[in-house]
Amino acid sequence: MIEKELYELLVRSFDDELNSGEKRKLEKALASSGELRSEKKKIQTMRKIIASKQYSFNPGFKNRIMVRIEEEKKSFILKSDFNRTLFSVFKRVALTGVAAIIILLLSIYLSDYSFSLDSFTGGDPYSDDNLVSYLLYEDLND
Amino acid sequence: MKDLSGLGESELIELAREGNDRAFGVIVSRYEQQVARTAIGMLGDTDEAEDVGQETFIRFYRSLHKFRGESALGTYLTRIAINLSLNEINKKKKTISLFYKNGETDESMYEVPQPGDKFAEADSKEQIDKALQQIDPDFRSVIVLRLIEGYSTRETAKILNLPLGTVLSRLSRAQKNLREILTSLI
Repeated sequence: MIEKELYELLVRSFDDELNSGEKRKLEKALASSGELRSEKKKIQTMRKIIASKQYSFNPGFKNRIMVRIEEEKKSFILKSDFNRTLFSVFKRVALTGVAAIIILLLSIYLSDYSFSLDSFTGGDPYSDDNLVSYLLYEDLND
Repeated sequence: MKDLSGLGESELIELAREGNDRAFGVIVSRYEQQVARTAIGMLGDTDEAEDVGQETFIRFYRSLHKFRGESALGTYLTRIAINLSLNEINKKKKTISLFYKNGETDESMYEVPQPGDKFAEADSKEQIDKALQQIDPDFRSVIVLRLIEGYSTRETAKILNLPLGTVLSRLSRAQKNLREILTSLI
């Protein structure tokens, strides 16, 4: 049975630098224990098998990527065309709106020669500007 | 047509940025194996691994203009592939937990090879593949990067954005787990 600490040291020794004390301890244990030596060999074999594994995608992988890129480009063009159309429509609507506002302002100014709140709301500048008193006045007349 | 296969990494990237798809194709051919090792190592030889492989290159294509070359292209692609693989595993886990109640799982998914059964009769490489799929994905990622891709422990830590100590302890535990699963084989 391999001591847990020695086993840990053995596994660590493959990837980590052991300090001199740990190194000495492991070397001593390896020299005296056949079981530990065989375990080291097994781990080495396992690592070799893992490292030698060949992985590859199914044939035609590159072509599949290029087809996806082509599709991506097409959808990008479609999207940007849509955005451009939307933007030009929006630009026209916005310009028409701005023109309408300018015409409205001009017509207000030309009719009242003022940009006061009353000229915007169409209220009489000589009437009570307090809505409550206006309503009260209406009540009194009833 | 000019042969692009002899060009260096940065020249190919520059050409791809300018819209040269053939240059991007050369990049794909050059790094296909590396991405395959990561994706298949993490997910097994499955359709998901192929999807992750494709998505890795597509994401790189989309971010071509952002790639500044601070790390080697292979490392950059491996980082994308490992993250996408871990996402895929998490997605799978969530789907499984939707179908199975707490503690109730499909045992065949976590089957450990037993000597003498059909599984153990397959070749050692296939068994190692199956064993790899049985260990925790966090442990698997360090095995894939360190042993399959051949990165140093420091590079592995950088790719996974983990402290070196964590990578070392995961490596050690992963090897112990693999060794236990493969007792009959080695």
